[in-house]
Amino acid sequence: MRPSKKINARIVQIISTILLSIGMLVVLTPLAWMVVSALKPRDAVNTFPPQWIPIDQVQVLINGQEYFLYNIQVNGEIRQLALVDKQAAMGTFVNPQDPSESYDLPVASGERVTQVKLHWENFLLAVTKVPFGHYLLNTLIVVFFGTIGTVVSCTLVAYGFARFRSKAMPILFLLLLSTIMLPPQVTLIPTFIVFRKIGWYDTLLPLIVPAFFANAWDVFLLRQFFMTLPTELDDAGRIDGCGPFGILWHIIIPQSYPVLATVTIFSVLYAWNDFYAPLIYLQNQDHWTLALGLQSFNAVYTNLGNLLMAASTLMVIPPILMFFFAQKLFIQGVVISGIKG
Amino acid sequence: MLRKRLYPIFALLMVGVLLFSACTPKTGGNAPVKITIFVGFGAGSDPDSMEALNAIAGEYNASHTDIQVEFMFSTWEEHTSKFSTLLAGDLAPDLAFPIGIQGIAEFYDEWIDVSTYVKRDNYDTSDFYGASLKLLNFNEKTIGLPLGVYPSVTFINEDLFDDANVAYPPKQYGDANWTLQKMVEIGQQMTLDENGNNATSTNFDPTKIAQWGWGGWCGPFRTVPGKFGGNPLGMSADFKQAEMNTGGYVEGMQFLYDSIYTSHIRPSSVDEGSTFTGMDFTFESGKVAMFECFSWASYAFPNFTTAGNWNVAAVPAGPHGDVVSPVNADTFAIPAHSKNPDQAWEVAKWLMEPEMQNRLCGIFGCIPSRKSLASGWISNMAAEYPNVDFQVFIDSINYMDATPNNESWVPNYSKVWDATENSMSRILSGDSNDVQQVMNDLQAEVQGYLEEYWAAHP
Amino acid sequence: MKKATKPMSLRRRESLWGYLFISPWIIGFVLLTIGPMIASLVFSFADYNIVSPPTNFGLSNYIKLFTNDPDFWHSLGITARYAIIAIPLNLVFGFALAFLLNQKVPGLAFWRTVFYIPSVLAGVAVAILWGLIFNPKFGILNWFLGLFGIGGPGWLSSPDWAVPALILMSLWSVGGGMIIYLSGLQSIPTTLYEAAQLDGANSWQQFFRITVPLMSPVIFYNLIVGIIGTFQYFTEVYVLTSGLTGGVGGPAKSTLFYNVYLYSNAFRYMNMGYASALAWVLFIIVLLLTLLVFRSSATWVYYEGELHNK
Repeated sequence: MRPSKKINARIVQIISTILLSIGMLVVLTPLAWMVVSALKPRDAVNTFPPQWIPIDQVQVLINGQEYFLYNIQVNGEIRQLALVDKQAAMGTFVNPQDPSESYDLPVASGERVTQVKLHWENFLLAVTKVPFGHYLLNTLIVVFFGTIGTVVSCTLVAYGFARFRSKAMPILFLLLLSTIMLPPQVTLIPTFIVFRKIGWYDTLLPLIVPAFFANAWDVFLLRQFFMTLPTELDDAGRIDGCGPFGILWHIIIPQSYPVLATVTIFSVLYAWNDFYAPLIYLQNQDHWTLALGLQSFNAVYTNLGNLLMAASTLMVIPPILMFFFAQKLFIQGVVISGIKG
Repeated sequence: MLRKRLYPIFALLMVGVLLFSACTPKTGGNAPVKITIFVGFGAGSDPDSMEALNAIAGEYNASHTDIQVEFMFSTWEEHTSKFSTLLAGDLAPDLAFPIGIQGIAEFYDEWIDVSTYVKRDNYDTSDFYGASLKLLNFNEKTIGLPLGVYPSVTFINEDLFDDANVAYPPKQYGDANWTLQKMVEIGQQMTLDENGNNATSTNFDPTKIAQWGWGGWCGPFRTVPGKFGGNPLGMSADFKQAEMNTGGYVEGMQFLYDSIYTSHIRPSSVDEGSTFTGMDFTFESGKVAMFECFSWASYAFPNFTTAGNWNVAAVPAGPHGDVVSPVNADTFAIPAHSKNPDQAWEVAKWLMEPEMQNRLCGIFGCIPSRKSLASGWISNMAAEYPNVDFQVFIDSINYMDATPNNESWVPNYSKVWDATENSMSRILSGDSNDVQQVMNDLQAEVQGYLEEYWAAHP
Repeated sequence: MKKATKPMSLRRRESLWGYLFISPWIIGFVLLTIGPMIASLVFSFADYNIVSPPTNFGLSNYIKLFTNDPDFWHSLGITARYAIIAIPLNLVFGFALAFLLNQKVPGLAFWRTVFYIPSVLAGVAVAILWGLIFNPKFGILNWFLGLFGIGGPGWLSSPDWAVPALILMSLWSVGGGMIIYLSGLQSIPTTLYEAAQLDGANSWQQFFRITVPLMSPVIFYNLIVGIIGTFQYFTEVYVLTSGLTGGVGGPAKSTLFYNVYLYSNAFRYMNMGYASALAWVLFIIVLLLTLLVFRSSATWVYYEGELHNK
C-alpha cells in the first residue's frame, strides 16, 4: 500500500507541475511583453511583426542633424553610410566619418542599420515626467487608510450578520447585497453632489472615508467564512466570560487569518488600482494618485507606449511582492484551524 | 434603545462633517478671480502637455493680478463623465480648452455665444483662415475662435513606392489625374501577397496579403461622403430627414467595401487587428503605402520615420471631382455655467495671441489658424523632418470641409455618431457584405434618432 | 425587569448587539448610499441630461425600453450569454487552480504568486497586452491552436469571436477567485481528512464528502458575486473598444454589453434618465437571480456555524 501511494503522490505532483507550467506560460507572456515594451525606444514600441527584442535603428550625427545609417552596396562592397537627402528613389549617402565622401544611390538597394538596445532610462523617465512622489504619497495614504477602514468595518459588520439573529437581519443583508446590484454609473452624480456639498471635492476623503462604512463584497465574503466556524467555540468562549467583542477577537479572528488576508489583499489592490474615483473627485495634480497619473501616459494623441509600459511595470511590482509575502498568512491559517478544529 | 445607541454615533459623524466643511476656503472680497480651464476634450492630457500648460498658467499668473488661471485635466475617454459631474456639482470650469467640433457638439447647448465679445472688443479676425472661422459657427452661434486646424493629407511610404517602381502622387493640388481611381490603381501595384505577387497579378492570393497599397481614411465615416459629392451631415439642412442611404453615403461605403474585398488594397478591420497590434495607424508598420489622415497624426511621425522614408501628397479627387481634405479644429469654449464668463473671455484672448497660439499649437500639434504663422510652422516641422513637404498641409487648408464639417452638430449627436461608426464597422469587419442594406439600416436608425429629438424639442 | 420577560430580552439583546456590529454599514448606507440610489430611481422616471434638472416625469423611459429599443434587448442578450458561460467557467477554473495550489507541489508560494499576477494588472496595459495574445497572426493563442492544426479566428477584431475572446480573457484573471477558494481550502481542518483516511475513504470520496461541502459557502459566494459582477461587466470592454474613432462596443456592436450601453446613455448620449431606467431594470434582474440562488442554497450550501431559530 504505502509505496504505491507514494508513487501516486509523485505522479500527482508531476502532473500538477506540468499543468502549472503551461498555465504559467499563458499568464506570464503578457507580463513579459509588458517588460519588453518598457525597454523599447519610443518610436518602435509596436512594430511589424511584433518583436520580442528591443531594437533601435542606428542614427548618426552629421553637422548637428541626425541621419539614418544604411547598409548599402557601393562599388561591390557593403558599407555603412548615412542617408542625408532623398530625391524620388535616389538617395544621397555620405560617409559618417567624412561627410564630403558622398554617393547617389537608390535607397531601395540599402537597409537601415539596427542594433539591440535596452532602454532602461524609460523607467527613470516614467517617474520623472510626472510628479511621481506626490502620486505615490497620495496612493499610499489612500491604500493605508482605505485598507484599515475596509478590514475593520467589514469584519465587524460580517460578524454582526453571521452571529446575531434578529427578524430584520436577513432583510438587511439582502439590502446590503442590493447596494452592489445597481450599476454605480447612475449613482455617481448624486454621490458626487453629496461629497461636493460637504466640501470634500479635490481631497482624498471621498476615496478613504467610504471604506470605513463597509462594502457588500467583503462583508459577504467574511460572513461566509464566519458562518463556517462552529458555534460551539463561541459557547466555550462565552462560558469563559467573553462578551461579543471578546468572542470576535479571541475566537473568530484567530481562525480567520486566511480570509482576512484575502480581504486585505483585495482592498489594498482596489485602492492601489482605482482610477475612476480619483479622476472624478480629484482636480489638483498634487492630489492625484498613481493609477490616475498612469493614465496620462495613455492620453490620446500621444506616443508614450514605452513609458506607459514602464510605469505599468513599476505599478505591479509592489502588489506582487505584497502577495508573495502574504503567502505566509495562508499557510499559518492551516496550522491554527488545524489546532482549533 | 437602538435609537439611543445610534444617536451618539450620528452626532459624532455630523460634527466630523461640519469640521470638514468648515475647512473649505472662503472667497474674499477683492481676491483675484480664478479661471479654471478644463483640458480633456482632445489633446493636452499627456505628461508633456500637462507640464507645458502648467508652465503657461504660471506665466499668466505671474503677469496678472486680477485673474489667475488653473488648468485641470481629464482623460479623453472619461471627459464627458468628468465634465458633467463638474457641471452637476456646481463646479463648472470657466473654459474648455482645447476643444474640437466634436466636443462642442457633445455639449451643444452648454456653450455661450462669444460673438458679442468679438464685436465689443472689435476683435481682429482678418488674419485667420476664413473657413476656420466658419467651422465654429453653428446655426448663427459662434462658439469660439480657432486656435488651430488639422487638415488631412495623403501620407506615403516612399520606400514601398520605390520598391514597386511607382511614381509618387502629386504634392500640388489641381492635378486632374490624381483621383481615387488612380489611387486604387497604384495601390494595387503595391499590394503584395506573401509570395510577392501584386494585386493586379492573376496569381495574387487575397487570403495571404502581406503588404497593402492603402490604409484607408483615419477619420470617422462622416469624413467620407464629402469625397463622393455627399453632405457630411447625412441629413436635410433642417435636421429632420436622414439622408444616409443614397448618394455620397452609399458611394463612400461602397468604395470602402471594394477597397477591401474587390481591389484588396485596404486591410479589413480583422486584418488590422491581426497584423498591426498596438498601432494607432497601420501606416506605422511600413507595410502600408498610402493613407489619409489629419495633421494631428503628427504625434506618430516618429513611428512613421521608423517605418520608412515617408512624405505627404495632396488628397485625391473623388469620382465626381470633389477634392475634400477633412479637417478637425481646436478652439476654446465658455460653459454657460461658468460664473466668470467675462474673465474667461479675457483669458481666451490671451491664449489666442499669435505668440501663445504658436506655442500651444506646438503642444497640441495643430497648424495655427492665423495665416501669418504658417511659414513659421513649416520651418519648425521641417527642422525635425527635413524630407517631408509640409507646404502640402497648408495647401490642404483650402480644401477643408468647413460647412458643414464632418464633426458638425446634428441632433442626438453621439447616438448618430455611434450608429454611423457601427455601420462602417459592419463593412470593415466583414460582418455584412451588403452595402445598401447596411446603409438602409443606418438610415432607419438615424431617422429614429431625429424623430426622437424633435419630439422632445418641438 | 421581570423574570417572565427575560427570554424576550435575551433575544432583543442579541439583535441589539447585531445591529451594533452592523452599524458601520447602516450609517454609511443612510449617509452615502440610499440617497443616491433613490435619486437614480427618481431620474429613471424623468428626462435628465445631468446639465439641467430632471423634467417630464413619467413612465416613458421604461415604456421605450421595453417596446422600442432593440439595443436594450441586444445588449441584455450579449450579457446573459456571456454570463451563462463565463460564470461557471470561472467557478470551475478558480476552484481547480486553488485545489492544485493546495497540493504539496514544490514552490507553492511561487506558483500562487504567478497565478495571482494577472489580477494585479489593471487598466490600459491589460488591453494592449491582450491585443497581443489574441493577435490572430502573431498571438500565442492561435499559435497554440495551430499546434493542433486549428486555424484560429480573428478574436477581438471579429464580430463573431469578440465575446468568446472576452470569456477567455476573464479566465486569465481567475487568480482573484483562486485566492478566495484557497483561503477556504486552508480553513478546512486537516483532522477531517485524517479521520476520513482512517475510515478508508479514497481521494474522490474525500473530495466530494469533505472538500466540496465545506467549500460550498465559498462557492456560493463566488456564484452570487459572479452574477452581480458579470451583469455589470464594463471596464474591460470600454478600455478595449473606446478609441478616437469607431463605436464603443464594437466591432459591429458585438461587445455592446448591458453596462456599456448604459454608460453610453449616461455619459455620451447625456440621457441619465434613460440610463437610470436601464440600471433599475438590471437591478431587478440581478436581484431576482440572487434570490433564486439564495433560495436554492438551503439544499446545497452547508454552514458549520449556522444559527438555527430556536
